[in-house]
Amino acid sequence: MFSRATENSQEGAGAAGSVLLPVVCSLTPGLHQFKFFVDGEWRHDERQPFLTGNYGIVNTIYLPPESALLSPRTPNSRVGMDLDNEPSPPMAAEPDGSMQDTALRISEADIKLSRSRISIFLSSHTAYDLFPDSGKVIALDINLPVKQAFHVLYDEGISVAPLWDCARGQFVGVLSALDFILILQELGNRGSNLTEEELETHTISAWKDGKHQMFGQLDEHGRPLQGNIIHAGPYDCLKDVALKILQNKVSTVPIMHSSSQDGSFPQLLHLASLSGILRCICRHFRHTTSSLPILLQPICKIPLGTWVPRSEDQSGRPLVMLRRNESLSLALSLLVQAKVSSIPILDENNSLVDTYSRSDITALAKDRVYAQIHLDEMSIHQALQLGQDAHSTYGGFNGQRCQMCLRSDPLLKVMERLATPGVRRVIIVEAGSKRVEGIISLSDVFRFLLG
Amino acid sequence: MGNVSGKDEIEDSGDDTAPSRSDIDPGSAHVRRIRSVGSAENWPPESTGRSLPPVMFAPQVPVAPLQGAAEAPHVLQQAWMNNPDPALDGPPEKGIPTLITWNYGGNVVLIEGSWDNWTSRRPMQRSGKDCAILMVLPSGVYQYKFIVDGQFRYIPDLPSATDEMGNITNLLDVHDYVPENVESISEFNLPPSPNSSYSWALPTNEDFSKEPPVAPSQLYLTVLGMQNTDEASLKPQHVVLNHLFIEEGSSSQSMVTLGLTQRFQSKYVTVVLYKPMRR
Repeated sequence: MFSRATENSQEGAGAAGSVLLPVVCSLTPGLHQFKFFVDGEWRHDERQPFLTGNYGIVNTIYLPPESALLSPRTPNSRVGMDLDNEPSPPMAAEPDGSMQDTALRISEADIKLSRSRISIFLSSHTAYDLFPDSGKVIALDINLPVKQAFHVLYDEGISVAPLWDCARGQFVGVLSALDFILILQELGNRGSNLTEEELETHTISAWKDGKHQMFGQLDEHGRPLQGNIIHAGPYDCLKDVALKILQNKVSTVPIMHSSSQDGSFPQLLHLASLSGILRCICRHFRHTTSSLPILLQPICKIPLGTWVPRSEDQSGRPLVMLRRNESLSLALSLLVQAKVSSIPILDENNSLVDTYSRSDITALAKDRVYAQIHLDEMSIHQALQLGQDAHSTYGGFNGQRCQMCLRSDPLLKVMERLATPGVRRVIIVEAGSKRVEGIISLSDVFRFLLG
Repeated sequence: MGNVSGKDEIEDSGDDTAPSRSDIDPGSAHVRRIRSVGSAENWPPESTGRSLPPVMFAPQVPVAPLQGAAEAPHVLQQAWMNNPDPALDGPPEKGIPTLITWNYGGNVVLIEGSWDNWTSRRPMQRSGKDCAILMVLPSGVYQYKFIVDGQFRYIPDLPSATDEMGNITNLLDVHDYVPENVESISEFNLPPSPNSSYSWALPTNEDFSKEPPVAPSQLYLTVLGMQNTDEASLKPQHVVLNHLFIEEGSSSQSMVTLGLTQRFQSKYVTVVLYKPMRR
């Protein structure tokens, strides 16, 4: 029973007590929910990821589609399935009319020229140029209980903080929103309501150790604690910093400086992100757009981003979206399993109303909501309301939270939007109906610009 | 009193012994060294060697130079304010007054630039042999050139860029803050240690139970605790650099908040650390 409400049971008969009952089913890529029917009873496997859905507790499995490269354009690593109730096969994600009509594509020469100019610019500026004149960085001691760390992130309005280990005199990692999502999921999975004592005494370092054992593959910042934190120096060129961020699939890289040879007594200077680097690029090139010809091209012609397909191709990667009355636990599962950083949220007419991002998890710290609710009892809509009350600077729909643009907007406009602090993705919508057509993130833009 | 002002300088040997100074005279720059609460471990130290910041500091606003337009000097005279540029595409940005001058003669000098996509030419105001114009521009990088008696000219001493066709334009980088003039700071010779015996004993528990000495009032001018209103937060006064601050009232809870502002080249970095308190 995969994603359909049919009674098509595919379990093979096997002796009780045997551990493995392999069943081979061919599934379309995407997120599927399933359950086992064992000896007349519906069961789920507690060792695999599960959540409470419309059919009770179900296991979930996520299948990334095979990367069928049809063109030299860089594919996006974002995958997922449209989770409306009507079953729809996953469809391709290519900009409209790109394969057939090459006359509409912008010239390779333009792309090459723009890329080389950007490369020169990034190589001749250093991370020091990203620093504000007077900046502030928040750091957390690694022996801080996770619960207090959660509240600190919320109070300070940040979603990532470097971790300081006193005993070693070093920064050893970062704590990010993804950590909290995993913690909440793990605590929720134990069945009962979140116990505050567990969050009270569980330190960040204990969590990181456990996480490394549990999620060996999860490499956000999942390197062993004994390893080195991903960081950069203030004199590293911007190109290296951007590549480091892209290759390690992180959102920020701490910039640190140590005047001694062995790296002791590091000075934490800044948290570099692609957004800051893009701001530098925009600031430099926005008044000289002739030197970067692709800047004025409409984004529908530029091969970047993830798009909702208009045709029925089977290749490419679909876009993850959810309705706002879906449960929060489903959103969090998707964020983790699909490895996306945000999900567009639609209303009943499939119009865009908001986005739910990983960093929104910190809003649950308000009034300790996380301890009072079950994740699957709260809808995404309610979770977003929490966030809006909290940070009034980010106005709900029309403010900085949900940046939208049209497919005909030039690349420069999209880049300017992405360069705004706090914005990591721009959603392309259809004018008027606000239906989602695609999504462009910071890493999409940089992968395209850096070639 | 929550604010602990003390030098938490860690020598390179990693040892935390801090030789005490003699005087608590609020008029002097010397502050009695007190080990800050709860930090028996090493805090990433300011590694510039000497701990005490100079009492005097360079003026933050440089006098507007009359020769180039490489930096963004402030308004000289209100009478020179031109009409600000029409709002460029996008959210209205704060315009920064910028002075551009031309000192190479000519009768009629005009200027055109990428700030309005080369659409308009503005005449420059002449005063004696020099011409100048005051532009109000949002932060960014612009190209411009001069038209002197009908001919395109550029200033060779200033940063310039050449495009594929061989046209040369000058480059203008308008910052939204005034970069710190590092020269005036690093050349300031720090005074040598005064002659004294330096034989004070470390504070004992008895000393710690007393009230700490009153911190000099300048140290209250910290940028910590100020809300981040926008990107350009306030520049800290030099006097609060390299002082370790503790959040008021946090020593009674299980978590302590420490703050430290340091200078890195010509920019400032404030690091706030949240630490658990073991009781």
